[in-house]
Amino acid sequence: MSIVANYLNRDSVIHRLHPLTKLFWSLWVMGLSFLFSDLWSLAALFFSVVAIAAMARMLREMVPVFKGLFFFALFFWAFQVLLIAEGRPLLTLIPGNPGLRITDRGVFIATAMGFRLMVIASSFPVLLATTQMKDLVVVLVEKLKIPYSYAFMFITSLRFIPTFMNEMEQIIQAQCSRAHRLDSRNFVTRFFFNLPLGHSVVDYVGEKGGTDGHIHGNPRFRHWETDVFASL
Amino acid sequence: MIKVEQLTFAYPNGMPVLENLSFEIKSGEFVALIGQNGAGKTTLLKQFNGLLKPTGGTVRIDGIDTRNSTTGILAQKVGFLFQNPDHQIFLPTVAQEIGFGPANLGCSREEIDRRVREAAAQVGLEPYLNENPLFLSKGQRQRVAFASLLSMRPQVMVLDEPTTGQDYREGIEIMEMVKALHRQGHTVIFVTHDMELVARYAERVIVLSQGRILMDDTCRRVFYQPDVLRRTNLFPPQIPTLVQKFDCYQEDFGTPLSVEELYATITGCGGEEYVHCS
Ligand SMILES: Nc1ncnc2c1ncn2[C@@H]1O[C@H](COP(=O)(O)OP(=O)(O)O)[C@@H](O)[C@H]1O
Ligand SMILES: [Mg+2]
Repeated sequence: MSIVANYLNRDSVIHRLHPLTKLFWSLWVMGLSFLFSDLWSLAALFFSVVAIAAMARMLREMVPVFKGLFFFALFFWAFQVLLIAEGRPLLTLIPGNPGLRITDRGVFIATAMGFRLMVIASSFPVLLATTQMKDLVVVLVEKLKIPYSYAFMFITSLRFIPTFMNEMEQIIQAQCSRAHRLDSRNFVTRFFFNLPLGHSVVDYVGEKGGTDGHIHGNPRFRHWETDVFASL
Repeated sequence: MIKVEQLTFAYPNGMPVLENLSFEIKSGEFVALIGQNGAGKTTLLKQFNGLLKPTGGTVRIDGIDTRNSTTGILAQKVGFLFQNPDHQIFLPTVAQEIGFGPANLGCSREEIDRRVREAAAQVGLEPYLNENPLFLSKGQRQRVAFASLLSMRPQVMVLDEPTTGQDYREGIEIMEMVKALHRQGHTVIFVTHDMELVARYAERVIVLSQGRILMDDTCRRVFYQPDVLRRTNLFPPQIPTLVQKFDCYQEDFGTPLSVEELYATITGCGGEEYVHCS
C-alpha cells in the first residue's frame, strides 16, 4: 500500500505528458464519474484508468491499490444493495420482511456506485505516481496561478499520505504482535478489529474520553468498540 | 528455539533484503544483532514473529514454521518490542494497555488481572497502573510497551533498538530489565547501534551486512576482529580498541571488553575481586 501517492520512476508516455494534462485528466475522470450513473459507462471509465496505469507501466504496483479499493467498494456495495428497494426482487433476506431484499435495480445501481468509488479513488494515485511533486507545484503556481502557499499546503498534505500510511502500518504490526487478529484473512473480522486502532489514532490527537480503571475481559466487545458504535 | 534455514526475503516491491541466512538461536541465549542502517536487521527480527514471512527457506520458532502460523499465535512465543512505544500504546490506562494482549489471547478476567500485576511488577510500573500512558515519560512508555508484551508470557523477547532516543540512564535501565528477564530464562535478541551496550550485555553477536551474516560469534571474538567489523562501518567499543593499539595485546591483556576487566588484568586482580581492589 505504501506506493499510494509516491512517484514511481518509469520511462513511459504517461510519465512524459505535461503535468497539467495529467491533472486535468484526473479531474476530468472524476467529473465524468459523477456525470455518468449507468453501470456500463462507469465500468468503462474505471477500466480506462486501469489502461492508463498499464500504459504508465506501473500496473504491477497498482494492483494492491486496485485490490484494496475493490474490497472497499464491495463493502459499500453490500450496504447499498440493501438500501435500494425498487425493482424486481431477486432475493429476500428475511422472508416476510419487505425491507431487506435485493432487487435487480439495486444490484445494478450498487455496482455502478462501486465503480464510481473506484474511479474517484484511483485516478489520483495514477496522477501522483506518474508526476513528480515539484512539477505539480510548478504547474499549479505558474500555470494555474494558485497562490504559492495554497499549492504548498496541497502538496504538503499529499506528501504526508505515505508517512501516515507508514505510521498506520507500524501501528497495525505493533498490535498484531500483541495477538490482535488483524492478520486474519477475513475481511469483516479485519474491519471490526481495525476499529480500536482508529480509536488509537484519535487518542494520538489528544482527546481522551472518560476512563475506568479496570480491564475488560471480553476480547470482542471492549468499551472502545461500543464507543465507536455509539458515535455512528 | 529459533531455527533459520536458508532464509531469503524480498519486499514485494524489489530487491532481496535478506539472502540465504542460516543460523540457530538456542533457548536462553542473549544475542545482539548489529549492522549498518538498512542492513536488514528489522526485517530479520520481523521474521521471528511472523510479521514477515520468508520468500525462500524457513524460519521455525519452537518447531513451528512461521509460514503455517500467524503473528497472533506466535505472539505467545515471541514478544516484539518496537522501537517507538507509541505505535503500541493506545488504551487510556496502563493496566488496560498491559491487559490487551492477554485479553486477545482469551484469558479470563482474573487471569488478565494477575498477569497485569505480574508484568507491571517486572518492569516497576505498579504505581502507574491507573495512569494514562500518554502522560508518562518516554522511558516509562517504553516500559508499558514492554510489560504489555510480558503479559503474554513469551519465551523469546525481541527488541528493535530499545535504547535509541533514550538518555544514558534510561537506556541502562531498560537493558538491566532485559538482563533480569534473561536471568529468568528468557531468550533475548536485541538490535542496537551502541557497541558499549553490546559489549556489556550480549553473549553472542550476529553482524549483518547487506542482508548477509558477516560474523556470528561470541562478543569477545567479534570485537577482537576489527578489520571484519570495519567492512560494515562498525567499530568495536573503546576498551577493545585501546587494547588493540598495543601490539602485544594478545599475550599481555587477553581480550577484555570492559574497564573492569582491563583493570583487573593490569592489576592482576581477578574480575570479581575488582570491587575490593579499587
Ligand atoms: N516496508 C518496506 N518495503 C520495502 N522495502 C523496505 C521496507 N522496509 C525496509 N525496506 C528496505 O529493506 C532494507 C532493510 O531495511 P531494515 O530491515 O529496516 O534495515 P535496518 O533495520 O537494518 O536498518 C532497506 O534497504 C530498506 O529500504
Ligand atoms: Mg531497523
